[in-house]
Amino acid sequence: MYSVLQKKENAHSESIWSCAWGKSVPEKKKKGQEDGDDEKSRDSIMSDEPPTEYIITGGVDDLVKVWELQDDRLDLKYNLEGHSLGVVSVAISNSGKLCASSSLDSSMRIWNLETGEKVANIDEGPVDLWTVAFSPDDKHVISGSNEGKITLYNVENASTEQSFESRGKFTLSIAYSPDGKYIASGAIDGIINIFDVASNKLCHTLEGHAMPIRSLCFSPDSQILLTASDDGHIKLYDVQNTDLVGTLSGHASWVLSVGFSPDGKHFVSGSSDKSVKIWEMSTKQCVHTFKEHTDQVWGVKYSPDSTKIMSVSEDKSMILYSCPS
Amino acid sequence: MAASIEIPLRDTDEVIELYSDQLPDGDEVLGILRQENTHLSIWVNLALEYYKQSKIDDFLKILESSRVDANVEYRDYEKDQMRALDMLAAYYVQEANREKNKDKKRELFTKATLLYTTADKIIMYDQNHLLGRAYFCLLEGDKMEQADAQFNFVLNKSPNNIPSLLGKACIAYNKKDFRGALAFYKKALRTNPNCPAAVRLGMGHCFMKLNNQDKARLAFERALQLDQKCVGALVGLAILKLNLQNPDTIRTGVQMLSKAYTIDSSNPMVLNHLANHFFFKKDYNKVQHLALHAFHNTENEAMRAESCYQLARAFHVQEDFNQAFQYYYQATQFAPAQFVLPHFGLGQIYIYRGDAENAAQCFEKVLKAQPGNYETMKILGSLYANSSSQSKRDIAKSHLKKVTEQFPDDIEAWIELAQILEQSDLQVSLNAYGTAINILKKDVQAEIPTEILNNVGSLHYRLGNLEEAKKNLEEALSRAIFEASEHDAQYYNSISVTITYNLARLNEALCLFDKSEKLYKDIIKEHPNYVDCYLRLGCMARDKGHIYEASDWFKEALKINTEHPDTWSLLGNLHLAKGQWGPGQKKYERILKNPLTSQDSYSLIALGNVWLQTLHQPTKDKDREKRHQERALSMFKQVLKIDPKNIWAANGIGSVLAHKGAVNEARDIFAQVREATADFCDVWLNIAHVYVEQKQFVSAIQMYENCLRKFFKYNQVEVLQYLARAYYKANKLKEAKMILLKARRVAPQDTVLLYNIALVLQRLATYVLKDEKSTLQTVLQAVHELGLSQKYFTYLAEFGDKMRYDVTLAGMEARQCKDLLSQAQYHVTRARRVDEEERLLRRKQEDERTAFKMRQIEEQKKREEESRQTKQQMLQKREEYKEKTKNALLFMDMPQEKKKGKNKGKDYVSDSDSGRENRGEGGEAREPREKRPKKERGGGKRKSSKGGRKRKGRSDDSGSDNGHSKKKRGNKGKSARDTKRDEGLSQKQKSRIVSKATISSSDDDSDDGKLKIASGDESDAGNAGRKRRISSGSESSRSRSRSRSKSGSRSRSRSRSKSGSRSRSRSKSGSRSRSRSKSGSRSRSRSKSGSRSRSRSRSRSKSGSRSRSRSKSGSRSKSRSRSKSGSRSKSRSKSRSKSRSKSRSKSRSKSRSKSRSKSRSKSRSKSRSRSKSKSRSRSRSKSS
Repeated sequence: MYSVLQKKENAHSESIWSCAWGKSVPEKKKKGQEDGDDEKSRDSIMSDEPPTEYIITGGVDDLVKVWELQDDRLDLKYNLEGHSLGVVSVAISNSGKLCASSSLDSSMRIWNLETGEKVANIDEGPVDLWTVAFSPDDKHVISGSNEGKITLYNVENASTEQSFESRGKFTLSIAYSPDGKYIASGAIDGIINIFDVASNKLCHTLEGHAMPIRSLCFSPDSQILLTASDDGHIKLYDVQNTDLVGTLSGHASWVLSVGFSPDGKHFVSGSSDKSVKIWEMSTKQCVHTFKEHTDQVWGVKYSPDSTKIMSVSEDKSMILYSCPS
Repeated sequence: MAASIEIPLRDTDEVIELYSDQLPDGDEVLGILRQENTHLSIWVNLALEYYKQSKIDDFLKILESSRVDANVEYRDYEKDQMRALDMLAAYYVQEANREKNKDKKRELFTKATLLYTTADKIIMYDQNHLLGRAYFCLLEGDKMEQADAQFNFVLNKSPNNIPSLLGKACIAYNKKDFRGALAFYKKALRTNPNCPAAVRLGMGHCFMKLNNQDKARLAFERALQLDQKCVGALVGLAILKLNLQNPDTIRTGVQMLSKAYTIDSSNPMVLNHLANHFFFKKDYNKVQHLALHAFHNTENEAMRAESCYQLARAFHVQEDFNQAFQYYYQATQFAPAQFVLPHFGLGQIYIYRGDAENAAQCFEKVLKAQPGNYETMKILGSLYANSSSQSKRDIAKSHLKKVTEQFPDDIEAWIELAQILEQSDLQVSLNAYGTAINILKKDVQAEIPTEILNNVGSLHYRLGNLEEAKKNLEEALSRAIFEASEHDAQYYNSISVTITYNLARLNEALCLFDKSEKLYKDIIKEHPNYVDCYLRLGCMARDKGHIYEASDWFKEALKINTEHPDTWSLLGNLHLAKGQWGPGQKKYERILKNPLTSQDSYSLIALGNVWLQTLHQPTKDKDREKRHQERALSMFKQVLKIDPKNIWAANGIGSVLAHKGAVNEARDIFAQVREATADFCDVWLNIAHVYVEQKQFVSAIQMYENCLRKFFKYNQVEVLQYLARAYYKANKLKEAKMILLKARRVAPQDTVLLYNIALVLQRLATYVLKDEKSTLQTVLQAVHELGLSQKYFTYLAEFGDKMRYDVTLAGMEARQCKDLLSQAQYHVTRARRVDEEERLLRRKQEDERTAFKMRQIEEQKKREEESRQTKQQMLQKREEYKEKTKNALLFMDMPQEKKKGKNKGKDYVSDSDSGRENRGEGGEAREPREKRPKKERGGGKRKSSKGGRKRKGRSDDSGSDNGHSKKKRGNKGKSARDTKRDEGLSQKQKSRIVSKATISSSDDDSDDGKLKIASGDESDAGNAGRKRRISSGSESSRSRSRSRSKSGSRSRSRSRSKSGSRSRSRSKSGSRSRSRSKSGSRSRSRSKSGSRSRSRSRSRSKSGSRSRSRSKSGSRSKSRSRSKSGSRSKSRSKSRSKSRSKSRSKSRSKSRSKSRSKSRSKSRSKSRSRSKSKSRSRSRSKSS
């Protein structure tokens, strides 16, 4: 059932602040496979050859690490250098080809995961960049800034394409709905804004929290918005009519990160209370609690196949859990 | 035939014979006696005869007249005179003894005394007389000694005098010398085996007292045989039978009693015993009747007490408490000291009346008479348990403990004990409950009452065993709901409300806020007056940051109870949290105005903190500042007067002291507070602040880190800032940077943080740039960070928070950064040059190597060419030869062999050549052999760069004292490599080489080795050059640093200002974020030579004061900074303490109230189930 698959101590030399999990379906077969296997696999497994799963972590040591996950084995693939003052946020594109990372020095970098090369570099004002997220079509990256403004960057040339104004406070968290219609942002004062991308308008403002929103995410069907706040609560909103669907509590401190499972049945949360909790969407109850970390859990993510969970923590470790869906 | 008495007629020998069974009328006889001038002896005999025939009047008449009229003119008349007197006296004594009227009694006693005195005058030492007197003394009471003396006198004369033996026995009995009494009785019996039943009776009593029931029974039975109507024996036997507690024997016992009753219906003893019996038969009317009868039939106080007690008990059971009280009271008045039951009853009535004090007195009396009586101890324990005085509660505790020791099965006592301990020792209390539950389950097999479950649950909650608590509370709740449907709905509903509340609190502790919110709201729905629920809802809203919602809830609570101090203080806290000092202050003052809560420590401390807070707002008005200090101080002092152990007040005083500059005293106070409790975050911070103030940065840092770890699960920005500041002051810039980054991770919008980061980056970059050995990478990083710093400062200069620091300073800093950046170019080029040089060097080596290779190849080629040419020549020659001579075959072989030989030779030469070249290049005389080792060395060197890094780490760890901090600082391997190389060259190479060789995997680039050696030489030169540069660099850097020091101070001030402005959030306890910053960072300090660093720090401190003034606008004093920190912490402490205390008090009060109710129910149930002392337990249950 729920168990720890693997614990990677000292995955970074300093606290790990962010993580992302994605997979890339290889377009071509890799070379160098042995000839005997090759023929068979070419015939039969060509289409469903196991995709490469990437785990990306970013920490205070200014490194973005790219790990490859195969058969529950973690291999460090790249150390992406260049950030300074600590990597605050990492995101992986839906195709699994690109990775975006942002750091406290207000710079964002976009990397090619296959080659480990930097694709683009975006530098902003001291308080104009925070967390990053990819658009569903992987053409854009969004990030929030200090005045509640959200900027949409083009992945190709790192240019600003669009911006959304909300006149709010510092945007701590950001999410792009999987259907591409909405962008949600959570601010330091607990206000959540939902923008309609097509019309470039702020369409909803949710005021359920009064403390910083450190993480939010959409359900896979884009119907539900999940928010996590310093008040220790997790809230579920119906995106369409902004109804509060549920308020969940159980963490003893700030909720730092939340993530939906890709199948939409569960979601996971990580908190300053060092615990990782798994919640069931249908009952809105906590179904399991992991207390493996020895310090704040900064990031949690579901695996693309919804069977695993990862968490990264201030204690420099990264943990993979198996998690029945 | 009855005996006859002859009255001799005067002057004749005739006699009048009077038969005792036919005595004529007294007057007639008297007439005869007078007429015939009869001897006194006859008078006496006649009187005796009358007495025997119960003709008392005649008896009296004869004796009275005998004194005057009898003829005493015969020998030994005195004896008869004595007899008459004694007889009369004895009669009076007897009468007196029977008489219940005190006046008459006294009258009779006086008569007797008179007679005895008269008799004394006649013959002092007549035996009978003495005996009579002795008995008189006995009966008169309190003349036991006299009586004893007289008996002794008699016994001296005739050792077997039975009356005196009996008298002695009686005295001994009364003196509780039962054995002695028994001995006397036995002696009497031996002398006269036909003694009356009374002797046996006495013996029976003695046996009873000696606890020899069998013999007592025998004695009583014998007495009964002797005298069928011996009431005493009947009663004795009856009691014996009753005490057997066996229905049959009880019945016979009662039969005996009724027999005794028929014999003597006014014997109070019988009556009392019968009353007692009917009490148990629950025939209370009869009890009343009999007891009343007994009461009226006795003069004996003990008896009367007994009767009263019986009466009272009857009334008590019939719930006529007034009557019962009266009779109990009367009984206590009559009762001798050992008879404590009436006190017990009276105590119960007092309890019923709610007069705990008098009740306690009563029970104290009982306990005094019977120390260790467990019922009494139990009652006293529960009486004192509810007392407000701590000492009494302690007594209660000790009583109950004794009870539980004596009767480990007494659930009630265990529960009571647990309840008392709830206030002091949670764990022990829990254990007590556990014992009680075990007993309940095992012995009584009763369900555990809901109240106990609830209490156990709340205890677990208070001990932090949340899961346990949950289990218990949930069970309690379900049981309560069940019970409510079964019996007392109202009672159990009220209990279930309490349990629900407790559950809600528990859910809060479990962070299941949604559940607890629902529970609270449910309670409010049914009980809209439940203030605590409103308060908790408000607190939850507050903790979620919904300040206005919280305020609404609190106001809701105020609607129900306008004077609830908790509500007001919570409201006050909300104001304080928002920095609204005035309104907050008013709330607290309101609490203090209420006479009921005028001593509220919490409000006093809060007010003190408000005054302290005002000290942080800088004023130029020194008087006002002083005034406020004094006010704060007086508040705290007042609290200490009320509660000498109040740590918050102590902390407040410490803060005021720190404000005043008495840092050492303040530290002492803080240290004491921390000793008292480790759960008080502010005091940790205050101590750390003091450390910083005293420049003990290491301790301060430790303190801050511990505080963070212990009290905050999340990155508490304020404390992180303190910590960063301490690091900064301790000149540990990297650590400071790290800490600030962590703070910024959670508070990216905080421009103060931004400022501090910029400052730290700037300073860090300056260090790096100044250091000539910085590698290109570090230099580049530093320059990058410097750029960031400049960016930040520029931003701040424009958008910074003008309230919290001076934005123009940011501008200046930005310019500074710019300057530095322009200078940085120089450093970059320098570093780059070094890097270039190195790279060049390497390239040169590479080139040389390739050149050499090329040359070799060329040579080879040449050689090959030559050989080919020679070959060709040979061939040609051969051709020529062939052509010339046709016999070629013989010669052919020869030249081939030659070729081979030549080749060999050439190879050899080339080898030696290369060896020579090596030598030349290396510039050192070496043997050809060395070639290989050199290669290895090259490998070794490459390794060494790695090793160098490692070593760096190690040296960092081992300590920063090393003068060559530069080396360490050089982050990248370069500098380390250089230094190594130098060493390597200068020292014995061989050994080095060997050692390295073993380590390094073989690198087969032979040329590399050579080249490196060369480069080594060069690098030496390079070093020298660098050194020169360094010196110049250091000069420049110094000047820079000076100017910078100011800026440093600024930054500090900033950090302070930050902290000041920050709101105090209260957080839960205990995160363990250890291992983070500590590892690595501490040891790495890159201290320059002491003097420099010191000067810097000084400048900083100055600047610190300045900065403060800036931020706060105005006053320039170091002390202020201190005070700030102190005050901050205080304010926090307040809020926290409040929340804590509240929650505690609530839970406590709840549990208490519950527990009380519980105890009630319990006692009831028990009394029912147990048969012991029904009346008692019942009465208690009611009263309590």
